[in-house]
Amino acid sequence: MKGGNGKLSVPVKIAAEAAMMIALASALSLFKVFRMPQGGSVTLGSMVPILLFAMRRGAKYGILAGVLFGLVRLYLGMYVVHPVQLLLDYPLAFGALGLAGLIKTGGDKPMHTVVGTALGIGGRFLSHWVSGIIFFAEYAPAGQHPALYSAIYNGGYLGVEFVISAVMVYLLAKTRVMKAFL
Amino acid sequence: MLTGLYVPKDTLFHRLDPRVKLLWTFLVLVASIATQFNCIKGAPVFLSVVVALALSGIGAGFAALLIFNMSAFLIAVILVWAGMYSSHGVPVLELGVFRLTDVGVSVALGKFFLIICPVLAFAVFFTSTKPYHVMWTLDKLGLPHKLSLAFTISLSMLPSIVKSTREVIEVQKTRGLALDRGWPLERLRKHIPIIVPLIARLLSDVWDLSMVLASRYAGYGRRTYVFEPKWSRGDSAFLLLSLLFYGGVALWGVFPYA
Repeated sequence: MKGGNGKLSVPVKIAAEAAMMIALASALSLFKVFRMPQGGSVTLGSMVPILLFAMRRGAKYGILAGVLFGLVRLYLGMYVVHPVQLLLDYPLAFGALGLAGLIKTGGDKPMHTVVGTALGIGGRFLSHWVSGIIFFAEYAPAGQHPALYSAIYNGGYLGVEFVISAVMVYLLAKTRVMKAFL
Repeated sequence: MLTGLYVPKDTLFHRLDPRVKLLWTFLVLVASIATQFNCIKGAPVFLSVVVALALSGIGAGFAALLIFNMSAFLIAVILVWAGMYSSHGVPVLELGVFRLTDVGVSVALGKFFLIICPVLAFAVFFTSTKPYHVMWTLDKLGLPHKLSLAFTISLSMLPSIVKSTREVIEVQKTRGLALDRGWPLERLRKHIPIIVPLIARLLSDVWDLSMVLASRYAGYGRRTYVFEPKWSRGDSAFLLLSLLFYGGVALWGVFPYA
């Protein structure tokens, strides 16, 4: 689509796509598949839309969409004990999902999308892990290092989320759904 | 499901400048963080937010839904936090292995206020502010226009997408998909026929949305607004009172012997 001066039509489409993906990701985050025994909820592939968007449009737009998704998640239900923890657990953690865009695949290379998913969710894990060490060390069982506790807590549900997301992006890439609609 | 539910009314909160309401929301967040370790200090913040919610004219249905959700959440929080602190303080209730102590109740209520107050404050902001003015506020705060546009559209679309998700889940259930049965991996596999149609449906709408935005000249130069909120004396007075109240509560919370 070329409109007006023909220069700005693509960013408008990117903004529309980002809005749709953020809304879908936020909606999916409200549907919990199950709760992990040590805490943390596994959602219905809520990161998939942001990961796919990042891989289609690149890391820059992916990170921006991730940050906005983090702000929506903040509104939908926040647990904030410190302003720095707010930054680490919401805008930064969800913005890190945009790192998936470092593997810019256009959404049709199945194995590349899995690597991108690993990058994005790995980035989110790092941010939550650091937050856990600094702000939630008091919840670590006696004798367990906070770094290990934070890794188990965040790695538990994010590991399952990674499996869900990887399977979904793989299937979406293989069936070329993204190419069919965009 | 609170998001995107702007309720058109003429209340005190509807008349306030959106920037004042957003500042008020952040003051509630700051006061909640500062008072998180003491439920007595957190109670005034909670009460103020409940009053604000009532003043924002959310309606009886929405209020009933909030009360139900908050009650369920309060019970869950008390069970979790009271369990963690069952060996601290004086017991106030003992039912078999379950032991509720005064310290456990205090910590649980503190955590309840910490989580619920900012959520309710944001609910007040969004139910009393038109999406158009949310975008205007974000623009005024210096956020690039396309980001505030994407944020506002995504919030506005959230209720309809949640509805679509529920529809897809119901359709797949009627076709024999048992989502709540089986081992975790099996249950995960069963969710794939839900997310794929949803993504496909939304991707097909991206084109329409971008056409609408382009036809409304979005993204071409600086965005102007026909109806801009005006900062009044009432806004200044509300902000001053909020600063005094929440600032005072926050200081009370930060200094343990205050």
